[in-house]
Amino acid sequence: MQWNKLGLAIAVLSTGPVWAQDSTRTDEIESARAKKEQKLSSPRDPGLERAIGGIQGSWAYRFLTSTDGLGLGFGEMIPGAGFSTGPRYSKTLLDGRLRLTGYLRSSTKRYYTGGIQGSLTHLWNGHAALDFSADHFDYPQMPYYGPGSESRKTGRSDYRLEKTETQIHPALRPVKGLTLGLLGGFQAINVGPGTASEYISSDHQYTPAQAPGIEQQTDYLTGGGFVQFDWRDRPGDPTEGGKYRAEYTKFSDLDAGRYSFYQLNLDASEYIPFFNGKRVIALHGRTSLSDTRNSQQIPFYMQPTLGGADDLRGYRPFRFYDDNSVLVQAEYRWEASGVVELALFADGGNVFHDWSQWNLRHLETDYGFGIRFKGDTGVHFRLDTGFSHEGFQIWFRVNNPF
Amino acid sequence: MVSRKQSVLTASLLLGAAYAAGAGDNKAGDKKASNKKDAGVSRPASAGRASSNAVVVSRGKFRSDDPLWVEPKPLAVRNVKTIEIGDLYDFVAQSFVTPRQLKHEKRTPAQNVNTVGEVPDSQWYANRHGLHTMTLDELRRGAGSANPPDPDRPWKVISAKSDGVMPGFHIEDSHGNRYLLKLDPADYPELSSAADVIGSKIYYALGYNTPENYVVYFRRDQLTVSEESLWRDRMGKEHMLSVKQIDEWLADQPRDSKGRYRAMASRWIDGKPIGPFNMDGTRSDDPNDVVPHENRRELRGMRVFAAWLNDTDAKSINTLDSLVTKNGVPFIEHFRIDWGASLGSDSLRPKDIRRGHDYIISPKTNALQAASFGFYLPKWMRTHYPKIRGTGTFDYESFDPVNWHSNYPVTPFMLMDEDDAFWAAKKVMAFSNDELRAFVETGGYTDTRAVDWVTTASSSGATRSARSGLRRAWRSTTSAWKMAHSRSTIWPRSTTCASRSPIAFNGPRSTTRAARRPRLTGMTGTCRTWARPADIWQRRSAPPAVRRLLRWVT
Repeated sequence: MQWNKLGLAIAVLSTGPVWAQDSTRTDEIESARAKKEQKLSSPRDPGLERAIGGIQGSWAYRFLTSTDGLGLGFGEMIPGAGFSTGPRYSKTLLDGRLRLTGYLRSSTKRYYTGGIQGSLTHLWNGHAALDFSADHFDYPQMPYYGPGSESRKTGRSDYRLEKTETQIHPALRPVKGLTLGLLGGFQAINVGPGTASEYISSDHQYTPAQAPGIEQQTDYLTGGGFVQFDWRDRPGDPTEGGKYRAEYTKFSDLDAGRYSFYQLNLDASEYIPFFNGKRVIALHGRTSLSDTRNSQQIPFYMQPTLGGADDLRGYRPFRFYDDNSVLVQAEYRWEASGVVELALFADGGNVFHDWSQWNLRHLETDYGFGIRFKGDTGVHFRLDTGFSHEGFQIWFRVNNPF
Repeated sequence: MVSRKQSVLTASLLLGAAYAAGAGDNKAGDKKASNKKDAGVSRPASAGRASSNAVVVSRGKFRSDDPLWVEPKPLAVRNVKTIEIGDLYDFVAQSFVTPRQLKHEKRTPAQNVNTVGEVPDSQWYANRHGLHTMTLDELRRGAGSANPPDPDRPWKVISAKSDGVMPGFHIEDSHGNRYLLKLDPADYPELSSAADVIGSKIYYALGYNTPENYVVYFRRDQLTVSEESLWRDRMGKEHMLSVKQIDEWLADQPRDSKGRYRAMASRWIDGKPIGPFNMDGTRSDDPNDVVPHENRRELRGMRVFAAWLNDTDAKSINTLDSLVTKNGVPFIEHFRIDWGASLGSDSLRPKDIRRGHDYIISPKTNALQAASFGFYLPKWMRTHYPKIRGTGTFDYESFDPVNWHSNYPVTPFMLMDEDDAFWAAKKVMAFSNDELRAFVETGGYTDTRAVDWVTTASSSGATRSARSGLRRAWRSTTSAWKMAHSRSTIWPRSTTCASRSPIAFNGPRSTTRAARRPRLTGMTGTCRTWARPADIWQRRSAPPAVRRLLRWVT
């Protein structure tokens, strides 16, 4: 404590003599306050705040970002459609339990889509929900490379696919994460010559034997069910947990009488976190298995496909068509910041005609890397680049691949 | 924890030196300040932009009322405007605009400090536990504990809001008291309510104005809805509030064994709320607001407290000005509110473990993370976070107070200097483990392991915060000590040196030690050669106890 006192003594001495002052510290403060009182003014927002406020309050900003009322929507079209945008109108009714959305989209490649979607949630104390929709789309340049995994990249043709469909999906959620549901719907389909000038039309390139249904279209009544267990921590950007879904649907041909079939879709995702979820191994597997009876066929435009932004990312969109498909994907994801995530990925998949050909040995493979921009609710958009023996593809999408 | 004896001894030593050096004139700072116009609430360049009216409480020679412990009574405030600060604006301004401005401006020491480096009581701050020991009951009481919402009577829901995840209600109890009632995220019970209450108690003890926060339990039938009640969805659209709506919000909420829901009730602050205060500049309509906020020591030093409690969301939007009238004089009081994003909570979910270690936008770190393919693994990624109900991701192993970051830059935090850090470190050191436990117990954790863990983590965090604050102060104070010593004995009275302030170390200051060194060297080149701190102590033959203390501190 002697040192303490000595320190204080030195400190006091070092300041020199302590002179009595005319004014006190209190006077000084009061003087400053009095001076300020003479020139008070109403606070003004800084220019930057006014600018940001002006932008946020503008009609254009609301139109671009609003999720309720009239706004502008982007994306949500199939891969290869080009940049798409269009008006969207959403309205919440019944105290927030019913949400209706109407939308129109048009893309740079003249793909069009529009429809109405509704979602009735929080039924039966949150244990039930009902989704329904009525959509129409017109895709004039759908690619078709021929059936099977042996199809060649140079065999590209295109066709027009028009579809009008209504769907209804009642679902029950008996316990958290588990969903049991029914699938019902109607599809009116029209297929015609494609409009891309650089590709031959599919009906000139492929025979009905190679591309069933190319000469005659039909309408479908669909019905089925699904069971899903979802225990992902954040569905929009999962780092832990998994999602497993099994879906069985019957497609009943209403017109031609020869294109009815059954389809079983199995889909599983698993997310393995390490280093406190900042590094994630994401695994995904999916298979679509179709079955026909009584010499029925599956039209080529209803077949499972591979190739695109969400499955085989090193291949062109809809590169492979056949009655069945299998896909396995793995990603290593690491966070660079709270809003940016990077990924290395590898995909493998194949299409095949018969269930007996199901295997994981002869897969078309690709690999690549991606960057994802995230928010609190999930991935806002991503840029993936995939490489395969057929070249590379760059994908800009507004969702996670799985 | 640091013992009181240690803290008092260290504080006395450092204070003496800081005081000695701080008694001079900072002419450079004054000149700079006088060239700046009153900032108002606008955000001009921040550092060194003292208002023309700015008062430097400790500047100049001694006055008869030094050291000043209480600022004079406030002048009456009239015609105040309610201020709104947008989230996006605050983020953009603080992340991109202010840091660039600070790079090019001269920094000034905190201005609202008295001659012993303390902050006088004012409408912003009141010296509490650091100066006068508060009892455990007083610490638990915080801003108040006598007015929780009446647990046995109905609560009328006046209005509500829902961001789609976690609804909040404004309620009025049978006594007419109004509260903001915030529920915990359904999947993480006790998480944000505990953090909010604990944070409010600690900040109150540290000297800030805070609301009365309570952990409350209520039954569903206690909530009544008036016919004119509205609720606002996340898009800001208003709807009539119905009983059914409340039932839906409460559907996923866990209940205790008595069927009650848990929430945090924050009593409405007295007076008329007029929006948050800016973290820099002054209010142009408040005559009492004469010290630019970025130069207020309690706001600069708050960085230490925020780091300690991982209060990553400390920003303008989580503050509130209130127009109160006392003794017939209306004036503005300044409050800190909302600690839902402190400790291991991030209000809606456990805190992302990155928070507190990085700004949201942190280009260098982000580039490193990206380029390393994820193999760059900072300690916080490798730390184990125990899964205890209500604690979220609060830990002490990875806590680094020096490199702690709020979600995005906050001007006073960026300007915190050694003296501010030292001031704050003393406040943190004033808490004993028992006192910290008392705070944590106010969070109402139902799992005793949570109390133990949060107490342990906050205790360890307090030690580290105090150490880092003292470490920073030590670097500064050794210089101050040397200057003081030299001036009284061997300070060369050359024109060059005499014209320079003995507290020139408080002048332009960089955040890195390497960057500071040339400036000191520059002074030594002009005036004299300074010895290294170790040399000083050798020369002065410091007693072993002090040496041990210094070794411990540094």
